[in-house]
Amino acid sequence: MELEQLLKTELRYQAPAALREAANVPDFQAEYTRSLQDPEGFWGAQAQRFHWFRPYERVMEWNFPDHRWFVGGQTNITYNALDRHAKGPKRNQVALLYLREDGQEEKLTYGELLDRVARLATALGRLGIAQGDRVIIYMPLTLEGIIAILACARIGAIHSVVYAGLGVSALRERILDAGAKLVMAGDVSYRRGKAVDLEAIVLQAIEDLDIPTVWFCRSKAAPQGPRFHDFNQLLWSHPPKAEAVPLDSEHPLFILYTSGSTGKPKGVVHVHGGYMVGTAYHLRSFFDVKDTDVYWATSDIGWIVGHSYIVYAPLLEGVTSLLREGAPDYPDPGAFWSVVERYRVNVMFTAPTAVRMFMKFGPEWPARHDLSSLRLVGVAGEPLNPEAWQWAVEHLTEGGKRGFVADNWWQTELGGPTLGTPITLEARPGFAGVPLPGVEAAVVDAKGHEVPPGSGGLLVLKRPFPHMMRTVWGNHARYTQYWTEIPGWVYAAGDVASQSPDGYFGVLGRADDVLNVAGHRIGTADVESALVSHPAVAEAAVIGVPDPIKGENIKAFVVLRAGREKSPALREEIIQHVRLELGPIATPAELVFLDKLPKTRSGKILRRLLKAQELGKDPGDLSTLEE
Amino acid sequence: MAQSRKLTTVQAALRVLAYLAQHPEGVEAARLATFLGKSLSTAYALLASLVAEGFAEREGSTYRLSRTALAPAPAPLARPEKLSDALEELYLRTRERSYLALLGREGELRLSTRGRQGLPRLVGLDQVTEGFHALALGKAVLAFLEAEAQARHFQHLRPFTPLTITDPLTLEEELAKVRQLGFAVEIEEHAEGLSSLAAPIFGPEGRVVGALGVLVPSRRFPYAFTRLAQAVQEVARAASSFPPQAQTPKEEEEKNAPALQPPRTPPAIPSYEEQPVWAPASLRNNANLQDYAAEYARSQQDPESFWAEWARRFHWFRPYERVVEWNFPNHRWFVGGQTNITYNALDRHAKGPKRNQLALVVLADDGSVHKVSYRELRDLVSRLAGGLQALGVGAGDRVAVYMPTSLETTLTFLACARIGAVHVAIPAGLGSQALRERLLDTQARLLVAADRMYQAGRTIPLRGLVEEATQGLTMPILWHSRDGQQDTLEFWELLEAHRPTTPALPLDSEHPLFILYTSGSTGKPKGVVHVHGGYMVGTTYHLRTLFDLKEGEVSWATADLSWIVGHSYGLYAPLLEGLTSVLRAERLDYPDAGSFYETLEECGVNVLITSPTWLRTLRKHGDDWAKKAHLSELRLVASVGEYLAPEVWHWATKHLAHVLDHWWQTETGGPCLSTPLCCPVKPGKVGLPLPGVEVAVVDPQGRELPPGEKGHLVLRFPFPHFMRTFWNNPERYAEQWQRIPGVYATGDLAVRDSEGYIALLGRSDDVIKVGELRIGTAEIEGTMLAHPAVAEAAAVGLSDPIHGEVIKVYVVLKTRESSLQVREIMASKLATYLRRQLGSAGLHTEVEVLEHLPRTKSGKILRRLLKAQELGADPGDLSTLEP
Repeated sequence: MELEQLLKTELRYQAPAALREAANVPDFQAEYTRSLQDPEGFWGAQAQRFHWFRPYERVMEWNFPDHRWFVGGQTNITYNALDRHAKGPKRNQVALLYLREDGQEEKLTYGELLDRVARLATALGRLGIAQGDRVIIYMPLTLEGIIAILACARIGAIHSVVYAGLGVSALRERILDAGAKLVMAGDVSYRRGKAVDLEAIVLQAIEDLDIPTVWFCRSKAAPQGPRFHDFNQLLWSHPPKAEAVPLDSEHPLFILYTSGSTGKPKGVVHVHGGYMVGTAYHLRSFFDVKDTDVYWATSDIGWIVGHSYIVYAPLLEGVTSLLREGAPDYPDPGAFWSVVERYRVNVMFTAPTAVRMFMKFGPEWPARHDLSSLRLVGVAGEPLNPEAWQWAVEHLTEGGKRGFVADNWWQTELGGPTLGTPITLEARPGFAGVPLPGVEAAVVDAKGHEVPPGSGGLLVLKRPFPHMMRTVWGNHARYTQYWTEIPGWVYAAGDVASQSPDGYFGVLGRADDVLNVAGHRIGTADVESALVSHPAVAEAAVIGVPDPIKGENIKAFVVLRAGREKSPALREEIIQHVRLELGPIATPAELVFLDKLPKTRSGKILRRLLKAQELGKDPGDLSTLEE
Repeated sequence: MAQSRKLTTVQAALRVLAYLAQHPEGVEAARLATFLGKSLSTAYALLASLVAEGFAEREGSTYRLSRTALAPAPAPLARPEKLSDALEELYLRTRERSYLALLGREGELRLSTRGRQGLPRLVGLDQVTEGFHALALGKAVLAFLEAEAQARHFQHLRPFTPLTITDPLTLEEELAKVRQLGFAVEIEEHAEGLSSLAAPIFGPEGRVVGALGVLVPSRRFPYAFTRLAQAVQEVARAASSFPPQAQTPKEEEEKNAPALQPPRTPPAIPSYEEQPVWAPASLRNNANLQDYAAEYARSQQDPESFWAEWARRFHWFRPYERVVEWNFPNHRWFVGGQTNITYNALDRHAKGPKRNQLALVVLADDGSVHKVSYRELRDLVSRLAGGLQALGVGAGDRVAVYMPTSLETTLTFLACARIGAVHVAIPAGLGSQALRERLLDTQARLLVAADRMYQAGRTIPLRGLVEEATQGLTMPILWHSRDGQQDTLEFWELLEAHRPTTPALPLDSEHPLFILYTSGSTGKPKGVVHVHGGYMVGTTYHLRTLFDLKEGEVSWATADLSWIVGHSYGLYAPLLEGLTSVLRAERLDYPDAGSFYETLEECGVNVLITSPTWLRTLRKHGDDWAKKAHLSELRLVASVGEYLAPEVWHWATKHLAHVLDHWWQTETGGPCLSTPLCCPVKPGKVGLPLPGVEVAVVDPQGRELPPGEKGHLVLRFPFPHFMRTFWNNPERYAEQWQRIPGVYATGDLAVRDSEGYIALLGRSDDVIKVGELRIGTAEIEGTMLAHPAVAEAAAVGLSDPIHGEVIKVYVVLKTRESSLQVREIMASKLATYLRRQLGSAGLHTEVEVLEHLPRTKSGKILRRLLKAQELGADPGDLSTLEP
């Protein structure tokens, strides 16, 4: 999407009046102003909705670049997500509505979920897991995966979910970086009716590590041995005794790894207090969720959207959260819409890549189903192009007469929606929206000077909010770098954006060597190092090439070691090697053998040139190219 | 070295004895220690040995010489070294706690024991001078003592447990049995949970000198019996100097024949009478009903406003004009009003904050679990209702339902009610003749049937049965098939073919909701009719005030959906009140008793509504299952369907939760008698009339009987959820109000105590008349169940030319696998026990041990069948017999 073209787009669109009038936050402007003028009062009021074992003394402390929220208070996010509801009238309300890949449904009420979580938490305690210990969860999107997450949080252990699909080295790296004391794993995940083996990946990743594992098995028998435990056996052999441990507001809740342009993945750390207050706030104010809604985030618990908007925020707000395992177009391209009809989904949160995929299948699929319950479709993960936006409005919300499509932008680091189009404002296709309450955003140049409206620049945030990350696990310097990369005491999001004169932000893509494949951030460095770890590969470079559905695809350029012959078989072998190392989402869609890679004189690979050649564009200044 | 120490010990002991002899006033250990020049602990050790050997006595902290220590021995005692070998021998053979009891000079028993850690033992018994009668060891000795020596022990008969024999006549009988068998048996007579076997040891003159016995936990007793009886007898015989003489003098036989004894009442056992028990304070303080007396009075003084007030919580499409119209014997409630029970049970919640709350958790017979929210349930019901209408079913049409407890059954009931059709549930598995009879009686417009059901790992095919029953009938059948066979009318296909748009039809309050045939333990089945308005109001009232359910709670009625308990408290009342109801199709103890506890735990059940049968079965399965379970959510157990024996009440209250016994019938729609949480419980008595219910205990002419007299239980007035009529048979309905003039005869016998508590004694056709005595079977069964060895009991009266009727009781022992001999012994022990408990030593009672009792599907014992088998008669309609 070219910038000028974007700014010229005249499309405007408002949610139906009935929805705007019934919005949880009817006057967005007033809300936003208050959030910036009096952040302490604003977030303090939000925090009052939750239970604090000990009240906090101060709402926030901001010692650049470190921020702390609800200082001195004690809480536990699971007490607020589970006990509060399970002990009240919502005890038998469905908390989680899970659709298995085979179409069968499983439900857990708040009462049942608390029971299961408390049992598993008791069991974890017996396994020696204590407050502050890290637990890696490598489980598919299942109720058990969520129970595992919550059980950790209940006893103050720090969960680190690794998307069950990442490969051996990615998993191993995260286990080591987090210093995990336990791995909880699934034996398989299901996709398109087939079981995908996870067990082999886990066993290989922990091969020489002395770490116990808990297995949630659906297809195989759990591995035998003293270090192996069966998830269900463990859960059901323990009483639901474990109470939610009162924890400092700033006690780490989870580590979630995300890719950067260089080096190792970063372990983003979120905490109990601020994350709870902030994510829940946006569920109500941005996604406009009501008490009796069925809410469906189509993501996976392996990603930040799954953490915030499948698990924590919906449970904190006591609504019904729907989750579904498997591909969006399986068993047929109407699968999503039959779920919306059958379960009367009110609010849905999905990704642009999914919308583009449905566009490809055609409007007849949603048309076959009664989508009358659907009020709001939130979309995030990568830029939502106007065509996809248009299609969603047309075919999912009766041309906008019944519902609203709410674009939004955020990151693992930010915990919840940061830029977005609230239901009471005009939507402007191509623009993610305005800064949401608590957020002060700007577009600047590399020196930190704000650029005029309409010009492209770097997206920065000028202040933290409660649900923003606290540090990078084991690497606080890397955290500081976020805030010091661009002068002016701002947080560099790493995205290129532009601002319209009336304050709407359009996010255009990454500013660094990070790819966005179907909404997943993938570091080129990760893929390149996986490539060179193959014995036949001498050098490798990776670029993103545009893809109509996924946004970007990975293309790899490889120089073979002397003596290795280029062959289709070897190409396939190298691709499979990357798949095993990093998982399917980071697998190159294309792999080209080159005799040498273009490099600068200082030896850096010029990806820019590769990309320009690929797209038939001007590669720009090549003065530093090595001849 | 060792030699010299031993000498000094003996010397020291002698010196102590001499010292004690000099000091008849008694000596303290410290003084002895000084005297001996030894440590205090040595002095204690010496004194303890002397006491144990009978040379010294201890009183408080002083010791003195035993009065008998230096007296000449009157008779040579059996050689103790030989006897202790026998004790060792017995232990080695049985590996059970073994005892040797020796008869002392003063008629006391001196016990020594052999065993190992972990085996039970008799606590606090070094030497027993009284209460021999309670121990097998004692009885083995007592049986062979001379009358004079026996007599002094007969003066000390006192209870140790509720099973101790404290009546001399019964004890005589018992001892005669010991002489006959050659050994004595003790079943929890001395200590609860312990049983024992003992055989006598005889001295050189053929006189009894003691006994050898083993002690085992009662639960193991029946299994171990044969082995132990053999070992005890053999070892005791070997230890005896002479074999016991066969003692069967004629006069003794006569002396012990109870029939020749003048009738006498055994002494009461006051310490074991049931005391009133309060519900735990936590339950009582939070009970929905706090003041029973006030509530009851209000319901009697002004029933119209009482029920009108409760009716206000529901939606009425048109408000009613009058609360009640009572034209004896017909009654109508909420007259002129319009409502629909499903609007109140579904739509009301699906539109409100309970939209995503679970309405039902159905654990189906195929192992699948359906959790259905109010919104989902309303949509499913609405879709099926549309389907039924498409089949031509309209308001007032009868729809027969022949399916096991399942989601499909609930949907069918509710879909019928939604469009005003009348559902007629027929328990799946009921014979084709019975099914046909009901189809014809109701002129059903449609039959909804399952092709099969699964139970306890078996597939029970129903298709053939249904086809046989419907031969020649024209009604369509909507099948829920699971055999892969495609029927023209398939349940889920019909449902899926319709959109959730069929609304709840406004119906007159008195519009029939369902017909339910009573289980027919007597005569021709009757179709009880209940209606939308009153049934809705009445059943929910008791759900809240008696079953005490709170918002956000889970209830589980274990009854099949096809029974009234399933209708009222598995389905309608919990849904009307917006709660979550658990339904389970599988047998409660399949694959094992743990399965029941799993359901309680996994579903977080707060209130369990079940049957005494099941509670008895649970008790039979033992405490271990209950102890393993985490039942922190369960706070109340309601028991209905049969007499709940105090033992079972106590067991269930201890191991599950506070138990609410209650009584009602298909005809009454909801509970009539019970003990609300705010009143003390009298186990064995069901309790008080509930608000809105006016009962009396009357004689056949309708005259009210004074407290303590047995009579017929009757209702004086109807209430909103009381049946309206019998389908196609209003005469039969009227007759029920005329059998005893002016009141509704429940057909049950009852007795009321001075505080108004009512105990049910059984069906009036379940009364046994022995001579002048009239005893309800429930009373007899309750008594039998009080015996720790008994799991279940059924009593019948058998006609006898001399005595009119004799009582025969069939029992199932807690431990099923027991040998024939054990059964015989138990049967005779139980017959004795029963006679004694009933207070009529002259009664003819017979006890037979069975593997299991025949039951109806609703869990009622088919006494009719037992009786018929006994008399070789035709048992009649057995269509409701559980396979």
